[in-house]
Amino acid sequence: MDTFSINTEDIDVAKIMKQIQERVLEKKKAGVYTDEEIREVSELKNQISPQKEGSYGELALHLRRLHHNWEVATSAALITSHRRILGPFIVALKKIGFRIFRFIAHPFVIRQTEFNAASVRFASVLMDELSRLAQENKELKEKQEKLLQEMEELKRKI
Amino acid sequence: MKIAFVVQRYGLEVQGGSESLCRSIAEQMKKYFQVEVLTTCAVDYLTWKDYYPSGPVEVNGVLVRRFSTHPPRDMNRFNTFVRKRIANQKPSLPDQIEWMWLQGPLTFDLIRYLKESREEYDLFIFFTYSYFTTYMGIQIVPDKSLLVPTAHDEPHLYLDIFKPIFHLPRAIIYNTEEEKRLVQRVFGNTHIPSEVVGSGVSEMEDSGVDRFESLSITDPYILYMGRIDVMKGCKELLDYFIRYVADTGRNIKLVLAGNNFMQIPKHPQIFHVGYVGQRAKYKLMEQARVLVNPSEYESLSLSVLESWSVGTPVLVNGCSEVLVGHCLRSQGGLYYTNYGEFSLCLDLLLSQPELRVKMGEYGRRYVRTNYTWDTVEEKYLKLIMAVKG
Repeated sequence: MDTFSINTEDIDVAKIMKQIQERVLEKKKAGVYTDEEIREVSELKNQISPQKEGSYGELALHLRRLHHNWEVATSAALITSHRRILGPFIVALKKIGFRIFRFIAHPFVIRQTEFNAASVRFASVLMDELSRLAQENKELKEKQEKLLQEMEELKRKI
Repeated sequence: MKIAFVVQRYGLEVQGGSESLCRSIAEQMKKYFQVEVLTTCAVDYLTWKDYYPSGPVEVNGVLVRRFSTHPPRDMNRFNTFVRKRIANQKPSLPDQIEWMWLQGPLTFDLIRYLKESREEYDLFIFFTYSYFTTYMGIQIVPDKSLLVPTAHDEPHLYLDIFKPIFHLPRAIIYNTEEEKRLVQRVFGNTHIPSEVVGSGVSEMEDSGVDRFESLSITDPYILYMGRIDVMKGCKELLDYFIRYVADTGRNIKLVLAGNNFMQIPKHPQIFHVGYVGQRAKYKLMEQARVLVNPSEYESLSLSVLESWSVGTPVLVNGCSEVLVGHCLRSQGGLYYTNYGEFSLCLDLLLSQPELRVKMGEYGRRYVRTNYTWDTVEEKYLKLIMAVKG
């Protein structure tokens, strides 16, 4: 992983975070965090954690995406232009436009964010409940198999 | 002046941010007032089962009156009720009241004591808005009550039954500016006098022989300190950490210190050292590269403040306004809202020791300016005197 450095003379956490968020956006655009990669990690996690059920891998992936993207109120747009001469002017214009849009849309964005947050929480609770039920189901099946075996043995004895 | 602190649990064995805060404040306030604590006999916050005997007892010089809880909480019933009646819809008022009864702790003896003995006390300081003790108590002695809500943005904060709780007290003490903004936005109670105080953070004492020596962690590590619980964001932290070490191949360990309430994956770079004492805690923090707090729901975060007090920077959940506020005001840590940010922040902190040192220093300065016991005591005294005229 490539690391970038920060001038430690004058630390400004807000600025550092902005740089980090911009780099994440760049990476997303460049496809650094691919679905495949996320799935691989999810599988890796499944191997490590005995409680995880493989069949819920896709659900977990979607849930993870929801957790990453619910916060629309603070999401930033990476404004760039490929034009050499007109580029800075276009970027400045887009930034002004984006600020005006954010100012007008702010109340709606906040409402949407609150709705998103509630949805993600609900989905997380559902996921946990599903995992619990799956575990319970697995244990019941094991118990049933054990009982069937015992029954077979008893039959044989009789 | 005689003051009673009312809190859901109290004792040396009790773990929990709000309860620890209450104990610290009560112990500090005994210098100035006659202090008593009214609480339950419980240690376990899930069941509220009686652990201590009921009756008066002295804990670190403070008189504690414990009252029995009956019946204890049935967590299965509570969870089923929340799923069916609270989570999926706008719950009705009777459902909300039932939720409060199921939430507990149902300590009717304490409530009766409050009714009968209200004249004996000049002021009641209630800790944590969301429990039965505060919910009933404030309604019984509103004119003598001061609330320390320790609220965060959680689903039940929006229940209508809490409206009176945030409008009745004589004053409210918030832990952070973010908590104050949240409560005032939800309840519109700006007319209630309030102060942002938080908790004092004690400096690390000289450590003698301690359990830390036997932990023998020699490799560089990042630290999580607190209850290891899905609700505290630990599942996400473990996922991110496993992915991070797979991506980078870094020889960095994740040390988890605290009681465990979830499945911790078996991984060669993840260590669970269990609950550690005060000195070992500070030592672990001091020697960590970074302290991580993955919790989305925080009203103060003592672990972050304690980490700064020993000069260790932090990496926190960016979904928590409180934690982000701490980082921005102190310049002592970074925050993340997704894996990409988590890995870049961690990489930055691990690869630049001078950045860590500087952020740790900023954090220490922030704690010394805002969270010394002298500052906290002064703010409490000012508000108490203002309330009592």
